[in-house]
Amino acid sequence: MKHKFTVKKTCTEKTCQECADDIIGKIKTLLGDNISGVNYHISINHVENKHAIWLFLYNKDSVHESENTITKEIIKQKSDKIKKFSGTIPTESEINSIF
Amino acid sequence: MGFGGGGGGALPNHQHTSIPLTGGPLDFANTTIASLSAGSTTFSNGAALQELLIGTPAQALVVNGAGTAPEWVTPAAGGASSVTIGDLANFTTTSVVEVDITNYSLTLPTVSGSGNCFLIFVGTMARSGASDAYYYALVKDATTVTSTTCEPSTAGYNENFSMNTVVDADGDTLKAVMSVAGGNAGTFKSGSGGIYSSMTAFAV
Repeated sequence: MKHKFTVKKTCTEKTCQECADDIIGKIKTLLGDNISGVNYHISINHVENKHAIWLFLYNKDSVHESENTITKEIIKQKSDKIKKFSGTIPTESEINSIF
Repeated sequence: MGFGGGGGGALPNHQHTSIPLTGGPLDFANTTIASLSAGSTTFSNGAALQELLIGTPAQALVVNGAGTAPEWVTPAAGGASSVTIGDLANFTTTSVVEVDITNYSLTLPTVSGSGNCFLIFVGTMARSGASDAYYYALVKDATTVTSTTCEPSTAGYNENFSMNTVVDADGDTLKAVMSVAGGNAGTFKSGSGGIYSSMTAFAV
């Protein structure tokens, strides 16, 4: 399941890793015991004042999801590392509220 | 009138030299007649003159692959397809399976002749606190054509890596992807602060 949203943030080459840690840390807190990389992944494009964030919560074991950035289609790839997201899936408003 | 002499019998053996009445030098400057098409050029195959018809606009005359004759070929496209750093932003992911690096895609040139592209990818990245291995690859349509792994030794410090290879210049889409073995955030850096990551396809 894809959640794609934007956050108004500014960072530089020197601070973009801290910026990423801040965004990822907030999402990790929201998602509780689920493990980053296993039950979900986060991608961030650090555009000035308009950071694009992709949050993919995996629907099935062994099926990874991501977005083809050219066609915008969802890409599904098999991987034994992937586990289904467990627990309550956060709403858009719950995700937006942490930023 | 042809070289046969216009009905005066067989032309005796002669040489085209500067001596009059032995044939004289051929005057190629708008005088000598030959059965060639407009724009054609001639070359010898060692036994007789051969006609090479004119090529198409923008083609160039080169020596053929056997090194025995000239031929017309379409040169490599002027200017390589490339992605420049100015339009791009830094990109972070925690994905353990490859994901597209936003905006790192291009359409390969289409070139006749050798029909190849030299791909040059130069990247810089940094990681968060935990040590991890970051996988990068170039994907031509759906096929990975080259890949590498970058493992920054210290959190927060930039690490450089590169990927180079040769692929067909056939107009396919080329894109860069990345993943991280342990799901710890890694940031591919491009577009600010003098960090020069780039992906370029040169037609060769």
